[in-house]
Amino acid sequence: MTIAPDDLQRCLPLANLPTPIEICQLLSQRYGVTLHLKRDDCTGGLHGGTKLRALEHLLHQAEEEQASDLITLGEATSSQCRLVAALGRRLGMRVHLLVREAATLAPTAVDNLEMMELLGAEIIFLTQSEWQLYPLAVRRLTGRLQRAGQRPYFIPFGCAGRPGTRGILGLVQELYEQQEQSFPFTQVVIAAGSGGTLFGFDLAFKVLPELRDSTPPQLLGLSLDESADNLLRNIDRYFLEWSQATSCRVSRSDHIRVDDRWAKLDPEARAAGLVKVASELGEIFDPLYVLPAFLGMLSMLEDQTLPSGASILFLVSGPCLHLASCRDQLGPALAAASLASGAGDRA
Amino acid sequence: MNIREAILEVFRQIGREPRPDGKGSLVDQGILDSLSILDLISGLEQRFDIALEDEMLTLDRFESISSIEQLVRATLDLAKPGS
Repeated sequence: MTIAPDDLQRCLPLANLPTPIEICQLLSQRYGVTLHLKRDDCTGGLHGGTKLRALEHLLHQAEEEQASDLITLGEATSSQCRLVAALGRRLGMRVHLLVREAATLAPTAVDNLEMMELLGAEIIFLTQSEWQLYPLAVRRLTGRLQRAGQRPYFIPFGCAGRPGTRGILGLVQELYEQQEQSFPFTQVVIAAGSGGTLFGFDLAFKVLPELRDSTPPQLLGLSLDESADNLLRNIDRYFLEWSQATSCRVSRSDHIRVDDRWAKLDPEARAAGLVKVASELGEIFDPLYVLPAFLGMLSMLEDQTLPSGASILFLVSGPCLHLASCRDQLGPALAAASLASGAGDRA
Repeated sequence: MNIREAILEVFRQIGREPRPDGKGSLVDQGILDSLSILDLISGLEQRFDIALEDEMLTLDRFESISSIEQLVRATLDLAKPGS
């Protein structure tokens, strides 16, 4: 079964699309590759990112179902929660956010929570144990709202599920159109939270008619949080759900690889990476959601896991919003970089 | 088959294997997580032909096989005519 172009039509345009593709000349020359950056940090609209593509479809479905309330969940730093809080407000829906409680909240998390509150969302904290079984909390909240006569609509973790996946299929289609009806990338590198984007990319080469006969790229997921095994389980689950919903049996391809060595990078390593990337490339990537994956990719270029001659696409999946997550470590990292480059001696 | 054995069978059907002695938290042992909990609820509802009340779906009721057994018994009791 394939997806008809109409199925990917944007009925609720919230993102500025298409986003540009840039070539990173310095790294391309250094490693003998062509490194493209897909700038989904430019989708705009309340801090945007790739999530906005999925939310266009999810919120359109919520409107179609005449939802009165939106429910979603995430970490205190979650872009998804912040975006849903903002977009729900715009669309006249109440928003309820299930947020994983943390022992201590970094300043960046406090900022994010304050934005959610400013936007009028109800924030419900889940303990670590409750988070492990968050579907229970979702079902209780859904029931409570229904009994009160509301029409809640649930936006799953990572915007996974069929409507959200349409946004990722749209991204792959957009890349194909931007490359003059071809998909020349041999490797696609993605920061993976729940695995939804990896799933969408893999699925695209099975269900988009224009891509079914193309050679799929190797998909490299750099996990931000989960173990590689858990991420692959999530992806398998998404395939199962897609198969059940569409009666079209599809499964994960062999060309997905997940690397979890860059998950939960400590603030010192993030600060050092920020300084390195900023000073060499003039880029400041989000230290929580994009930078770890970029550093992982740099490591793969260094050890030639990404071989010379490769045509690599790196998805810049969101803007830099969490600089404060390693603010205390930035000063020492800058000083260390300055010393290493000799600038400290000159000063 | 008694209720406890039927619950253990549902666990096996969803690919999870609790400790035979039933000791320890199912969540802490990684037997129940955000993926398997939905399969478990759906499996229990099918196996016992019940609809679990939303408000009864709290973490403590899924802490152990015994607490799940109590949840199932309570739901079955509620479903009895005249209750």
